Amino acid sequence: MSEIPPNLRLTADSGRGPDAADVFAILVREHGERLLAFLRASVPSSSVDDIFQDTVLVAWRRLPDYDRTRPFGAWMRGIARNLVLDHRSKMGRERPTDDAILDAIVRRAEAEDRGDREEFRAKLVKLEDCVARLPDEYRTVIHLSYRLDAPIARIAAEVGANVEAVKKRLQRARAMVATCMESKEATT
Amino acid sequence: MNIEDDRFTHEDTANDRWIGALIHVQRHDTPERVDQLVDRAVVRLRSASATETVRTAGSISISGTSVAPRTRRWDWRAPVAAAASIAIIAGSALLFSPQPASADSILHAAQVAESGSGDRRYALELVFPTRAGEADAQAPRAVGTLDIRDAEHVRLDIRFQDGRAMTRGTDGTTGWTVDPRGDVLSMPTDARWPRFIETPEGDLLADRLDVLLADIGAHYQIVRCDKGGAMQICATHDGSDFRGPESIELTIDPATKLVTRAALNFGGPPEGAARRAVRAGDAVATTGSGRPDAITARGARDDRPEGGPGGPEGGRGLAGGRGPEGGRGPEGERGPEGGRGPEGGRGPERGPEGRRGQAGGPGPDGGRGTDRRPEPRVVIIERTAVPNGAFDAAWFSPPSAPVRKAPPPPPPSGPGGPGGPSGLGGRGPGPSGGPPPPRGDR
Repeated sequence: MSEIPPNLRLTADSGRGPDAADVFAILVREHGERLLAFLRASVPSSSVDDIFQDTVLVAWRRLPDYDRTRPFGAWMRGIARNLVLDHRSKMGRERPTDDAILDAIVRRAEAEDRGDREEFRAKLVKLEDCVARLPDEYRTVIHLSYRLDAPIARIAAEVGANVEAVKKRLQRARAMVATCMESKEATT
Repeated sequence: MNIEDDRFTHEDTANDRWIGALIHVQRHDTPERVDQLVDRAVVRLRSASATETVRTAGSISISGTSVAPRTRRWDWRAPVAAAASIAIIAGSALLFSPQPASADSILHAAQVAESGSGDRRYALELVFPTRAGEADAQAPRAVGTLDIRDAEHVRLDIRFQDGRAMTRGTDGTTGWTVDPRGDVLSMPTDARWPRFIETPEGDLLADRLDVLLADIGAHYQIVRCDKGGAMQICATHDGSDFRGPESIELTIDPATKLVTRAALNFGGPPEGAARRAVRAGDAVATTGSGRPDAITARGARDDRPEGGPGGPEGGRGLAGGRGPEGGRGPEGERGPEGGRGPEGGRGPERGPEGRRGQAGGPGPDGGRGTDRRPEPRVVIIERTAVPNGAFDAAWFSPPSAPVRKAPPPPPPSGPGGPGGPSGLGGRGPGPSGGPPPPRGDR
């Protein structure tokens, strides 16, 4: 189903009344968190905001080409994916994501296209609950890594473990959160 | 490993990253932040639309399309032609409109016009609350200039009524400030700027007036309020959670749609509320009565080095500004000068001159908490002519080789409470906390 009013002129703003940019902004907001999640899964945090901005700008320019029968979020994500590839090529050897993983992230993100922004937010609340239910040692590393943005080495020093152990603990914590989320999804 | 195994690994990695991304989004990407990101992108896309026909070198090509680079990264020389066209486009939109231009359309045109770049000078005037029995005309003031070429070339000169001066700059390579003895000190190029010239998003206000205008469009009720033939927009806060001034008065050049003057009114305590205040250059721990802090009315940030004593609670901004960290002050220079002194011990009374002491001892600077002058109730930013049309190449560079590094900011401490990172804008009575160390630029 199209998310853009069929009678909307997809041209530059005339300066009067709701215009294409206004409607476009509403759509981008609707999909903003999901787009950010895709980017956070695909590129380093330091690049997320920039690529988000670029995605919006490119999407705006290509809006006349947008097939209104297709989901807007998936279309934006496709643009974002190209920008991630572009970003990755600039990073050279430090490329954070290979093609197969990126495609898998795209598929994972597609699963989130169902529902609206509020539903996505509700899912994040469930996620927070799942994090809160983690055993202390796992919750601590999640807190240090994601809330305080502490580097792995610092977390390792904080919790008295080596770097590899912390990485593994983070991975297990995320897996536990994923399992918890799935069980919550199953019960709702 | 067969193909299926490989695929499974990729899916597993993707799922792992996805959960991590969701945690990150849940923790950091609040709806408010997402809205801000979108607002800023929309400002840029509107600008990009307006400048479509005058796209300059510097576009980047991405997957068969191109997009104008973000405004902050524009080459400052390039948008000169764009600015002229913007003015024509924006002006035409108004001139040929069948109805008188609305406040909305003017604001939009101004947004487009202000998205350009180039050498700019803004005169700054900070008006502080009067003391008991003082007339408005006697309100303490500080004046100065803010010179901007782009995000990397900025110079700020402020003169306070008591004769103190603040000079700071960055040329993209070297950040610098001048201490009270006239020594040039180096500092990080990305050191925070005084709060009164920042937007809530942390950009330089005058560098990104388009962002401020987008905020006005989103969070203020606006009407045209032309005075004396000047095109003006009066904006009143809509009561939302946006942390900003109570009201804003914009004067706009009818031809270029550039904002020539912005008066930001933060309301402020009743006349005389600033009794025992010291001087215009001092700040601002108020009673946490809910006033916004400085121009952005934000709560304090951890990176502010000049952390004042703060209070048990940060003063809520006008529109529900951040809570616990303590508010921000008006002229509080973030940077090397800050920091509550390690000596601790707030001077019980301000010294005879009220000067922030090199000695750093209790006394001269002691006026924390209720003794401090509240933040400016009005901040006026006025565009003025750039001498000779452009700043000299060395204008943004340090006047001489830095003799040493400016003192680093102290590590952040916990929010609120004695010694909390409330900065010069610290709110609350500030029951304790020591004087700051010598301020590098005062």
